[in-house]
Amino acid sequence: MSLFLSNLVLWPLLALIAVPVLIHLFARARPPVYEFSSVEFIRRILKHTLRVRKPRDWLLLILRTLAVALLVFVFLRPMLFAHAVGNPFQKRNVVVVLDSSASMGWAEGSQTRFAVACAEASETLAGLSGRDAANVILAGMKARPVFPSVGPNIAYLQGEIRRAQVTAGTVDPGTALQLAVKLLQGREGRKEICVFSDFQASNWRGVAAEIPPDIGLTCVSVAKSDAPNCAITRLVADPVRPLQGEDVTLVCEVVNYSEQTQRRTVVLGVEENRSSQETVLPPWGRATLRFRHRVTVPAPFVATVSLTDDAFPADDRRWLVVEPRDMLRVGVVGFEGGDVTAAVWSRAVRALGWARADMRDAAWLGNPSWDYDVVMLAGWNGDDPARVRRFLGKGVPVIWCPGTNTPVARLSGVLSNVVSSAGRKLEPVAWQRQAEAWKLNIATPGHALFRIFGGGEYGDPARGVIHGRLFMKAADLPTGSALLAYSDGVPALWACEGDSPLYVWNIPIDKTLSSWAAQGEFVPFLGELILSSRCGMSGLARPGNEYSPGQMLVWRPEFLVRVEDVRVRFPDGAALPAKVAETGGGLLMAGPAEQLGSYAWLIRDKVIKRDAVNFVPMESDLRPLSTPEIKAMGALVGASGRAVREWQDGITLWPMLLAAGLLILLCEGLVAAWKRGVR
Amino acid sequence: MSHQRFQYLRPEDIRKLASFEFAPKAVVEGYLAGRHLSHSRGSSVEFRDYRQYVPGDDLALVDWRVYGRTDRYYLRTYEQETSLDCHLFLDSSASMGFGKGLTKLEYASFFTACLSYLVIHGGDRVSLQLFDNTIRNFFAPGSTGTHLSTLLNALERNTPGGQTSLAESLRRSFPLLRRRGILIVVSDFFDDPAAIFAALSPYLHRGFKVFLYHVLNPAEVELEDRGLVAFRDLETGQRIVAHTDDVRAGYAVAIRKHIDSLRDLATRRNVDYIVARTDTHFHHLFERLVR
Repeated sequence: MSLFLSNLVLWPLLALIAVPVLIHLFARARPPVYEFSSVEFIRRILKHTLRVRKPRDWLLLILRTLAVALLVFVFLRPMLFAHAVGNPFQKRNVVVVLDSSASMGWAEGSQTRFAVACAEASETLAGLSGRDAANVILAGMKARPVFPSVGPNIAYLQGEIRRAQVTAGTVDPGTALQLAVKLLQGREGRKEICVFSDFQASNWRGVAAEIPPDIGLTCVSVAKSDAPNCAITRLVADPVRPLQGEDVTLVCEVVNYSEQTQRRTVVLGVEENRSSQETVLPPWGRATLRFRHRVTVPAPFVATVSLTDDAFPADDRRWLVVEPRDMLRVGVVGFEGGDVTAAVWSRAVRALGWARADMRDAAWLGNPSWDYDVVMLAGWNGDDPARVRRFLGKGVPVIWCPGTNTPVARLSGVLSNVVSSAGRKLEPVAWQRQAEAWKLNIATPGHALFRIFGGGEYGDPARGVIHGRLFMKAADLPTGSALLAYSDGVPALWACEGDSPLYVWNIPIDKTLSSWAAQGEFVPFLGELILSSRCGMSGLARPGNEYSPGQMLVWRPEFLVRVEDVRVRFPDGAALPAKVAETGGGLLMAGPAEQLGSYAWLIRDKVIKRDAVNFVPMESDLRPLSTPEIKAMGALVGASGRAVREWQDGITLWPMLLAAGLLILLCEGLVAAWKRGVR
Repeated sequence: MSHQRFQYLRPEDIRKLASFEFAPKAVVEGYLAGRHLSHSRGSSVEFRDYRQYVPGDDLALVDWRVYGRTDRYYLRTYEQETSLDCHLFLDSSASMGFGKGLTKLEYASFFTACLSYLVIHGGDRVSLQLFDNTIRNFFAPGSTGTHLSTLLNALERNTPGGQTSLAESLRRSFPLLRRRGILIVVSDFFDDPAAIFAALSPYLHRGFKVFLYHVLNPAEVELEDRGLVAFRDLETGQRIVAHTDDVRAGYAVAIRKHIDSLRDLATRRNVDYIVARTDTHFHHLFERLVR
């Protein structure tokens, strides 16, 4: 109603609805007079048919009125659905948000979604008049407006749309809409945002578009179907940084985003080597394939995995840069009361020959280096567990020997961060010491840790006597299992389950309390513990050398380099110079890396480092949002750019008038035919 | 007698009527000796029949020869030629004004005028009654040229008037007719057939020979295609909007049913019923009345 109150010009349109009524009345009064001798017979005839004729007249009147009401509705459609964006005769400011994310590359028929979106967006811009202003935001890896503000050069915007291309990245809908709102703020006249996208559900679901009430939001979805797709969503190495001579498992995950079972062949390429595996993917299912590769030289190499016979090729390849180690780096941190243990661990690690132990103090945990393969904490009482969880979250195994002042609740709280308030649990774990020695047992003989001890060549890792220990129960520890246990069941070495590579060490290695560290089995046991703890953790964190499309490549050289000597070679062969990051810290950066594939850092044409840019798995699920879900964003959903243009400009009247006239004639003809049938 | 000055009696009609002789098959009772048979006994009469004597009969009429042969009293009865009274009832209601070119009333007036001439020319008497819902004019029977002129002038002055009420007019006219004779009703009969024949019953009972001439315009028999029109009743002024396509078939059935109803009743009451379409010449209407 406010629409009509604010636009008096609309009232004559509403008055059109009265036209059929007037026609009806005039039509009844107009017939010529025929003077007849007696109308008695005619009156009797009409009396019989009156009950039929009257409703027919009303039916005709209703049909005519409905037809005209429909016509009026069609005329008012742009205004009724335009979110009260003000007077339609005002100057218009339109910001077109064009989704150029990777999913827009899906070909629906002969055209990609992006090509359709470009055409629809161009159609919308073509409907603007000379006094209107517009801008286009290309929402790919990064939302980028063509003009810094809304401008009148529509032709240039259409040219930019023609030149635009699909990116390999993902769109951030919230950022793009916020940018559009920012461009429209402060403008005079009607303000509209038109979004042309496939509204990929994995990307757009849950987007809360905070659009001010004076800005209209119109969405045009170019996705016509749930596109069936298969994708490689993950490629990792296990262990992440293998040692020279160690076998590395390349774990590849393939996902089927369709309702049909799919059979696919996955091909792995490592330098000159090729291997393939075939897999059957259930509907909406996934499969994990494992390829083994022996690392022969401690130089970075690129593993490429690809999928054959898929309709959406963008996500069918994935690259992984594996950086083998010549020596593992173990960070050993000694806390109060744990210095002896830390020293023994450090000596033992050095004795391995293939690992390097770096002694660190407690303050190092606050600002650590992430370039460690294993972190060992001696005497830590569980205080501020978030510092430790950061290592665990990055897949760096932590071997923790709790201090004697560690509260019972901290044992499990180190992972869950839930500390019981029960009085007893805040007390320290009980320290036990006795003259009679405790014996150790292997609690999980099948664990990889004990594999080399199976033949007896390396002795018995459970041998030795122990006179002191922390009295901890399995219930006080995080969920997991004991690898070594005392004869009375108290865990001696506890491995936590799940995604947290945490080991709780409850074996004193001070020679006054234990003979265990002095035995020959101790060093191989520790070495096996360090090696095995790295395996199976590859899925926890993305490798540091993997990037998403659009990100800047970053490298922190560990030696002195001249920036002008450093170049980055892109997958297409082009080499661009690196530059120093503004944040400092000796960081070099290059990019943005918009192409998928392997990048190489070069110093005088020598490859120093490799990085990989991979498809964002979120873009592989091509299913769009449903229309009600799009409407839930507070948007008006248009079928096409033409529909949006019609809403904005109105429509050419004469075809509608002609159609309405024909419709009325058709209806009347049908009623007349029905009348004859009744008679 | 010159007739050129009369609208409804033209010289060509007179020439045509010269070959006709008004002779309807009806029993009449008249004052003058004439060509028509009468059950009244007369002096110069033809023998009709014998009848047994009953007390009160004139003994002079007893046939004594028969008595001599049979020893029974019989009277000789004779048929007397007498003059005929022809009563013309002309409907002058508004509905008779219907018709393009020649209205039904004009058509009926031609017929009435010629019939009057024919009756008077044959030496018989003719009366004329113009009516609509009441008796407008009544001209008592006469057989003179002056009487004919009076009738013709009355016809010329006559115009379509109010509503038809034939039955009422017949009831009111009955006391005016002193002698039985021929009753000819010329009307469009837009009245209830049962009521019409109920009003005719006294006439029939008294021995009148009744002729009903139903004047109809062809457009009344079959509705013209005029599309959507407002029918206005000439008598009542009532308006009804209808499409002729919608009512044509129903109307044809209704008018046919009305005619059949009149014809059926007429047959049962020994009344002559003739449909007179205005697109046929009125000379054809004399077929039942002349020889």
